[in-house]
Amino acid sequence: MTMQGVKRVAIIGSGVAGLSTAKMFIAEGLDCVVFERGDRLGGVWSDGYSNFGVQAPKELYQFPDWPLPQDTPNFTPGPIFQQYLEDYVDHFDFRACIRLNARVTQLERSASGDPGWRVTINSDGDGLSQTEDFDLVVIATGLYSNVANMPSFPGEAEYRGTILHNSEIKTRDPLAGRNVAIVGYGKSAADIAFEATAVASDVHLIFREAHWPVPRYLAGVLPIKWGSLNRLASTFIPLYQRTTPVERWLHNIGKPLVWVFWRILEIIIRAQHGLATNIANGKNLLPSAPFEIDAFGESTMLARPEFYPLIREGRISAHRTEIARYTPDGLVLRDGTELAIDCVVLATGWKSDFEYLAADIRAALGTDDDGFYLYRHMLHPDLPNLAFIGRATSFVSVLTYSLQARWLAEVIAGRVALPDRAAMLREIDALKTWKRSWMPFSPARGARLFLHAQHYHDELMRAIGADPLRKRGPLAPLKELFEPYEPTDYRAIVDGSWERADTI
Amino acid sequence: MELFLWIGSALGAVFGLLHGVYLYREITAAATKGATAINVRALYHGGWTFVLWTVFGSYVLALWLVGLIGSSIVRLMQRQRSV
Repeated sequence: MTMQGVKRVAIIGSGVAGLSTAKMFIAEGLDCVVFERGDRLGGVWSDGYSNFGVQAPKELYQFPDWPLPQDTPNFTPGPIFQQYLEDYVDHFDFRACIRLNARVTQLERSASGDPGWRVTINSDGDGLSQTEDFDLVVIATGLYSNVANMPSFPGEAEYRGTILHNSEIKTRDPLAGRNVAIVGYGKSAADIAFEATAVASDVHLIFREAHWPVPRYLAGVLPIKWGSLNRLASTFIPLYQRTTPVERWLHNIGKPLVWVFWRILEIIIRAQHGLATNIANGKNLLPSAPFEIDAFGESTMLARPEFYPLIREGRISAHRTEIARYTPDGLVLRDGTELAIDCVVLATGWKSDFEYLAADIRAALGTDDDGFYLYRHMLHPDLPNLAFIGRATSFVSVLTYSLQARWLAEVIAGRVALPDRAAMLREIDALKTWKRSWMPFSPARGARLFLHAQHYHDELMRAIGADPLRKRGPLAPLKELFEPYEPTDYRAIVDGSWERADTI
Repeated sequence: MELFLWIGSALGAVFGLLHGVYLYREITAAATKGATAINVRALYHGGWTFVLWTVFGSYVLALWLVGLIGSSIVRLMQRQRSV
């Protein structure tokens, strides 16, 4: 399978993944068109909920070749990050390639039978549809879509209050002066609960299962990246799909070391946030799954420092249970608690929505509950010249997507060869089997990397003939072990100036 | 105590040697052209690996023992609970 001969590329989505792909492809001499359904570029960053922001430290969430401005606050607020994306586009001068208000409504194989795609676009301005042909289509719309996941409960029709999805909370106004219940335990639930405490009369947080928070500072002192994003820590996580002898040894004869590593981490986080105390209406907030497994689940969050103190103070009333039913004036919970609630906010995520894909494409991708699986998280052998950038979640997503774009650019240029169809399918099957053997279920399990991102980045580096060991200087061996990897470590990869394998 | 430190360091040296050699071979294999007979960078990384293992060998051994005892106790408790 090759992608040579590609000249014209459609990129669907102008978020971080779409923009990094466009910038890199244009630098490679490809003719790119980015389709953005909204009226501003930036994807999720152009239209977030009230007070949303990046949950990772700023040095981890930026383009490798375009650093955030020096004065950017840590844990970059959403609007500042959106402006940063605008500046990125202007700096690399590809705004002309981005078509706003252009919603892709259909994607089908080229009528000629050659690898290539016909894209149908509906522009909001005129309401008319038009079609264009492309040699390659890159889907860079992330894991989900704009279709909110809104679970329903008995009694909903009689409920007199308001039911909202967290994406509808653009300001604090819908929460002001009301008794608010937020459903969920992920980042958006915690963010909305935090917002609600400023203006609502009463704030309740309802969740089935507690999850391990990833603190910004471990024990209040050590930035979490030092405890999770270096090579030392990445050897302790559950074994990657492809392992080194050292990792196999560590998880075999060295298993007690792995065990003690995670239990020490759990003890620190438990003490730091007081998770074992009964602060959730008589229940504690200790997760039932061990940290090293729970961290790969749907609700992983880097907790705001205010979140647990607000629960302890009672300003957020936490309920570790689920909704049994609505009443006309509130909610009845599974544990029997009745709450007077006039606004329910469902922070329950998004549904996948690839309705614009023709039926045969969706069939090829698969219809499993845990999402679809791809070769190198990007390609499917039965869908030539269709690629996904951004279906690989990590704590350093901007970096991960930038490296994906580099790998794809190398494939298009013919500098990286793809295996044959059978080998790609075998690898996809192996990925599926591996993830399902240990990773908690989530609708996007196929795309989850999280703490395995370092392994994935290393694989992409080796595939393009770059040295995965990026640290330099006399202390490089120590840095490799202890220093977290950051986007700036990969600057040469992204701007194309790295030493290829034959010159390393 | 002194004996434990010696045992830990000795074990660390053995593992460090194996790990260092592995790392040396990996880095050398990645550098196909321009590599001299002895890859200095690979040797440097391998050497550091050996030194770190040797220096911290006894600490690693102590943690390994703590983990072994701790995980055994937890397993026993879980088995009793399930019985």
